[in-house]
Amino acid sequence: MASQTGPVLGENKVVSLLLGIATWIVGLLFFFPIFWLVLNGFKDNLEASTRPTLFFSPTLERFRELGEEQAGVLSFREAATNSFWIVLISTILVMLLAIPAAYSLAIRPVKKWRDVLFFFISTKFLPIVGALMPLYFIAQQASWRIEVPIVGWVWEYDTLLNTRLLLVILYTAMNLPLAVWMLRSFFAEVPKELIEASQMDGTSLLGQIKSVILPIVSPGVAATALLCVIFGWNEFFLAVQLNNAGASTLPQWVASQETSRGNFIATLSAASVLATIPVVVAGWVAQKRMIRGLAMGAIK
Amino acid sequence: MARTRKIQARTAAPAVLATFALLAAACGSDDVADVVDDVTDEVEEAADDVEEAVEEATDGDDEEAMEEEAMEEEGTEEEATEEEATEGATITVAIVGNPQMEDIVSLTPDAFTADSGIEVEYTILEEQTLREIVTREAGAEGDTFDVVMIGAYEAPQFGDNGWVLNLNDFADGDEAYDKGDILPTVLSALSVDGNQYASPFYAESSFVMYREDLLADAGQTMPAAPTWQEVDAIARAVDSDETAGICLRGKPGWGDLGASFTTVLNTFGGTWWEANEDGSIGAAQVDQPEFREALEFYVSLVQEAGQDDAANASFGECLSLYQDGAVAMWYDATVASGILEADDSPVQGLNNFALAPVVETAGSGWFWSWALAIPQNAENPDAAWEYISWATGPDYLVTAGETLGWAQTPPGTRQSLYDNPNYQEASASFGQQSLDAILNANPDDPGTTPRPGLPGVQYVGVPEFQDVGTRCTELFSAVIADALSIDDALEQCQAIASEASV
Repeated sequence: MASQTGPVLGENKVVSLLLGIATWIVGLLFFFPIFWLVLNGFKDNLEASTRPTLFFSPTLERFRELGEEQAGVLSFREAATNSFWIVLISTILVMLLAIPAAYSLAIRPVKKWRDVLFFFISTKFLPIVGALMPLYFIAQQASWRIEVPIVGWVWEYDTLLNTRLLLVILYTAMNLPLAVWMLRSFFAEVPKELIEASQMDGTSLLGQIKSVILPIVSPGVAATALLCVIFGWNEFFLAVQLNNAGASTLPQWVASQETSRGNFIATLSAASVLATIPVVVAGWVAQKRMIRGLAMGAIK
Repeated sequence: MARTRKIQARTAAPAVLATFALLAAACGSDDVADVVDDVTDEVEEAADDVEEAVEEATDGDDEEAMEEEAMEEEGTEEEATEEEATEGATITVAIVGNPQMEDIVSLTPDAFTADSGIEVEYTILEEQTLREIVTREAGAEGDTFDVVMIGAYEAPQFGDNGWVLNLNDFADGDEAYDKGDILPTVLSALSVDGNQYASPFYAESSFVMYREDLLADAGQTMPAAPTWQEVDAIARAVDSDETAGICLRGKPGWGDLGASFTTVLNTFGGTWWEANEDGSIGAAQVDQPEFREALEFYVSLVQEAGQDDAANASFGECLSLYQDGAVAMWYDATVASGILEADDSPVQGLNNFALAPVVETAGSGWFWSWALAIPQNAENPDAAWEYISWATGPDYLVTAGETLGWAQTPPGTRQSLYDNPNYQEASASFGQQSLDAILNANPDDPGTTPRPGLPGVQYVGVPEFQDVGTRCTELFSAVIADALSIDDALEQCQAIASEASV
């Protein structure tokens, strides 16, 4: 794109070579810790924590040990299931709330939409640790009983502490402002002509969103959802502080592999690898779709 | 379009395969096929859920539907635990991750739940996180845990605050628990005025571990009860390019560098604070000559005959270096001896052990214990005690020894373990020295002057010490790394410590 406007940085061969080398160095610097983490996962614990070496006899033993399940202890399977549901439900909730919000901020802006937008992001200003004690007390004391009369279902909560529902609520709240901001910028790019055209055809509001706007912003929706998934999947602080018994998530499982007396680097590395794989794969798959979607314009 | 899709499939396939391979390895005995089935099931379930959600969303009442779904998830779980509750109590136990605790976790179902009918759910936390969470739970009257693991630093303070139950009421009537068998130093460290607030699972002191072969090569012999000057001379004599003379903690933290250094400080005749007559914190003593002498000694020893990158080393790093033959001596927790003499240790049989070095005091070893306590709001204190009585009782040591090997039993808590011939045989090279170190530890009078607060050796038994110790050891660690002068470190630390003085 830039090359159409004349000579730019990178046209000169020497410069482009140097830039290439610099990019590789930076890239490798970023990648090396991940590489080392994966490598450590295939070592013995003693091997991993003594002199660093590239050459060793790799073993799957750490992964096998991590998969072993013991009664009364958080297992990989359990933690992954908890994480999966918490992240899935909170992400869906975020999208359901953020899409209408983004619509009303971008396509038919409400009055003082700038203030509204600023309000959303201002909820992220407070360091989360500052809200920890209030959150703890609210969660501790939240209790209710809901009965569905005909079917006879009863949901009863003594406390929200140590439940998956608490993390669903918190992760939804945590990701919502960000999702609204991101989605608003994607929605703002929807051409006015398309919306006007659909209005002329007499499409309803819901139909307009469903058949005109969503197809155009779907890469943006996917990108936002992916970000929510990543943030929820990796969240550790709230989980460890408010949810440390019964419904723990994957990051907590990873952290529980540490031991205060002994070598644990290889086990911890293997656990991190296992916890990372799902997001890496999700990101990879989503990335390809997103780039393809973003490359296709609406009216060209 | 079609071409892009093809490429995607081709590049995605190895990643998906690799994922399944690792998941399969993680799921141990399960067939890959099972795992794939599970994963597919989960994905299908997820897809169904998304579909449902989208359908419901388009129907209009989106939020309610989703919340209901979230609750349905929770609901099924709640029902499950309620069913269990009718069979027997379930208790939740928060523990720190260490090898002995991992052992008890694996023994619980057969050795405890099968007899008592009490289900145990463990939460394993890293040391500092455990401390934060347990402190908060205790202070905020939480009821998440029925049993918590606390250290020798917290037990008397929590007991004094009324945050944990007095165990005398339970222990005195429990013959199987055999309170008289607990080592007196350990029991008194976990009690205030005769009231026991935590039951020891494991206890340690500190001593010198050394490689007999390397010392002999350098023509050195280690006395059984050395002084720091002797250890210093030996360290400098054996120090070479490949092998450092001694490994000493240099990593900031009241429980890391703070622990090692405070034992040295005590025996050099120094201390952090004077004690006021009522036991409160008096004037800071960091600017006194004894404090400077101890810090200068420690820094010079670790800089000139210590391990590389000393400012980042604590127990774990020193353990690795020692097992790798990169250091000849190591001053640290007695529990390390069991790891060094374990069957899978590369230095098994090469080690000997000496009491913590002294200067002005009779002994200098630290005292630490991980112990189980019942929070004030625990829902089921009787079930909690039943668990504690089993986990820290004399019979557990036998169970652990017989099932997992005697060298692996949690050391340091009960005389009966050291009287057991099986344990004596397994711990021939380190058992007696560890016991002596623990019995010699003197939390009530660790130095040459009275201490403020509750008893403690490698820490001062006041809540302020965590903060002061951590901030000052950050300065001292910088001195070890040559990034700060001793004068500046002492001056700043004196100011920090003075903030806590009454």
